[in-house]
Amino acid sequence: MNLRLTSVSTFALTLLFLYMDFSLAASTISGRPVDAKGRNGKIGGNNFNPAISLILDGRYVETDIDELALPGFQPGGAEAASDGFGLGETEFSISANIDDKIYGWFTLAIEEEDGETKTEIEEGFIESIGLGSGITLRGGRWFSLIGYENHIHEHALDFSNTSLVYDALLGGKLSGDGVQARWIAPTDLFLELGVELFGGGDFPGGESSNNIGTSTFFIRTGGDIGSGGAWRFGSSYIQTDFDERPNAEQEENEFFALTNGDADIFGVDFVFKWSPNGNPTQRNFKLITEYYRRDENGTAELTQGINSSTANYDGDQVGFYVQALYQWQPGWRTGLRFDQLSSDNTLSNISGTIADADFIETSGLVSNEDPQRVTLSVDYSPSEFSRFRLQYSQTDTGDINEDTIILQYLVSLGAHPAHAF
Amino acid sequence: MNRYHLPILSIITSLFLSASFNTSANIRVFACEPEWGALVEELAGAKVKIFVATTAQQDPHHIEARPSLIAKMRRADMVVCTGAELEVGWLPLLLRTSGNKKIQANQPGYFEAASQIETLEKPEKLDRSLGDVHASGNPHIHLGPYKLLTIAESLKDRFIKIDSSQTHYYEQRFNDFKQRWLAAIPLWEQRAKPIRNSQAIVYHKNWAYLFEWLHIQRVAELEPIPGVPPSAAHLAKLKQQFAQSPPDFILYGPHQSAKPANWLAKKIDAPAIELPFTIGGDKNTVDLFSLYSNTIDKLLIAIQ
Repeated sequence: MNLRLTSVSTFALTLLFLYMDFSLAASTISGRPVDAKGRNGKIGGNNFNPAISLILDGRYVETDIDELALPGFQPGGAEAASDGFGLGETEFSISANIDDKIYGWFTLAIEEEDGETKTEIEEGFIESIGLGSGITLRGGRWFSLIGYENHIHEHALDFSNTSLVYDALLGGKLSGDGVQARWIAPTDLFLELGVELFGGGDFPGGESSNNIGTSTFFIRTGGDIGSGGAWRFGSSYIQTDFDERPNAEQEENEFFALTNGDADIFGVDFVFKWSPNGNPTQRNFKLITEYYRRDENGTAELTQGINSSTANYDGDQVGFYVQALYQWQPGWRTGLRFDQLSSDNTLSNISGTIADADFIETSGLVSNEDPQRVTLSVDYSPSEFSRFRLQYSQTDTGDINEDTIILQYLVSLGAHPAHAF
Repeated sequence: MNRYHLPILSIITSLFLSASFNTSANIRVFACEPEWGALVEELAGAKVKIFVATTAQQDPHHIEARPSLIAKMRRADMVVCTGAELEVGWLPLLLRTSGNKKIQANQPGYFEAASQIETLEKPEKLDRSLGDVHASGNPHIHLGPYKLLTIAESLKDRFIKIDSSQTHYYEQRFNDFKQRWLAAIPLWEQRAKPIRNSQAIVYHKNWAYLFEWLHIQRVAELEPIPGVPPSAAHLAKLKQQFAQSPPDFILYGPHQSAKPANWLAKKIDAPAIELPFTIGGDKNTVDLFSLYSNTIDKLLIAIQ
């Protein structure tokens, strides 16, 4: 399988060089000097090069949930909002056309975690500009373009948190370091195909000796309906394997991990947006839904002090969300979201020094509960650059049934590039 | 386990190879706004296939880079847009995601109207507390007839550069347009005499170039700052300010809400008028000529 992956990446790289070569040749022939600042700058975000943006996110949270435990799902790193006043994710982005062929994007996320300030390079990638034939190549680190919500930055989400299915199956979001190729078909109906090859350390992948631990494919199509409607339908496939995938949260003197496993995720996403005559400034509506199924297996390993046990793990999990947002007058929106998860996992051939029942209980992987959440929100945006949001949600995981209220502001300083559909 | 990789990549490869055979002889033009679609029609009608990305009922500041627009951009040979940051919320994204080489900002297939002229109202200070101000000046440039002619000439040169075998055709179309346009301007100016030096409150600074040409004075805007919808407090302030000396008209466009204008009109005894603003803004506005004459006619009716 390694050989195949290598041949695929070689193929992708060959394509890249082939096209880079063509485009270089073309520009030499035309001999036109490249004006990176002048004409480009007119539309390129603002008159500064690069465009620099800072997102500030402040919150007040009223909740009794201190961790996001979803029965039937291995903790993948998604976290619940922490109680009280706090800053959400502060996001610092720089983007620009590097030259006439390459665009660059960088996002640094600054977050407080357990009293410590943590900075993380969320995204840092280069992407081809106008390679031709509808092809775009990307390399670096980014939020995978699978699905809908995955590549939307925290501040641009319609709610204060990600959907449960993303939390459960992707640990919040799927990201990685790697290469990507996308192609848009030369048709009137929008049709896009994409493939990504990632190193794959990110959940639902894990530590792996494989250099390409995660690969994704996605296909999307979309168009307009009447004068005011627009839709997009997508389907994604993620394949990943891992040597070891430990729980993101571990109890003291305890270690739980899945080892030597792989996971396949298949998903579909649908977006519909409507506004009167396609003019969203007064009123607009949007409906988004995504469904994912994860099929995974491996060995479950639990160590408690000097005791340990292992078992064969076979996981089958599904989840979806449906959300609708309506702006009823300029600046004011209300939103409703419904999340649900379901799992059907088995642990077999349990062997070791920990009692079977304890092993199953501690793993948290076997559950008949279907975690659900209902979220309601109202937000007000005095301008394009600021938003205030009040969100109420009720989470029912079977084990716990809790209400969460989040009051949040989100503002954008500087030149933030436009968001995708 | 990676059995899906190779078949999918071969499909991609074969699809884009087959796509490189372009059978259409016409130049595919992606026009961001209806006025540029109309200008392209005047200058290159028979040689182009025009797609207009927005309608008069839409605000060109607020368009989403939706799938249908990406598909059109993917196949465009030429992009004709306003520039001056008007389309900053969607055009750069369309260009970047299209994977289309011909229409990138450094290519002849990329034409920005505002870059061809001297824009008005360039801000001295860039501060968001002043609203959605454009560093390159007021981008609503198509209602200044002389500036439009300058843009038309540059656009003609661009068509010749892209499609030099048809030089004669483009020259002839431009000369024809220029002749008709220069003949129309004095007639419009003559007709607009009664509205010279009149005063207007506008929803947004959409008519700056028209006003400069016809000597109409903009006394206030319904938006408290550009890009921010009219607020009750701001409207109350306008009511107080203009109750004693109402302007000649309160103007708004087809993509703007009529409510604030109508409210103020009742309070200060000035007519609220919807102007077409661009092609398709009302049912009689079908080209650039009717856009100008209908705009002037609506103002004339209001002032009588």
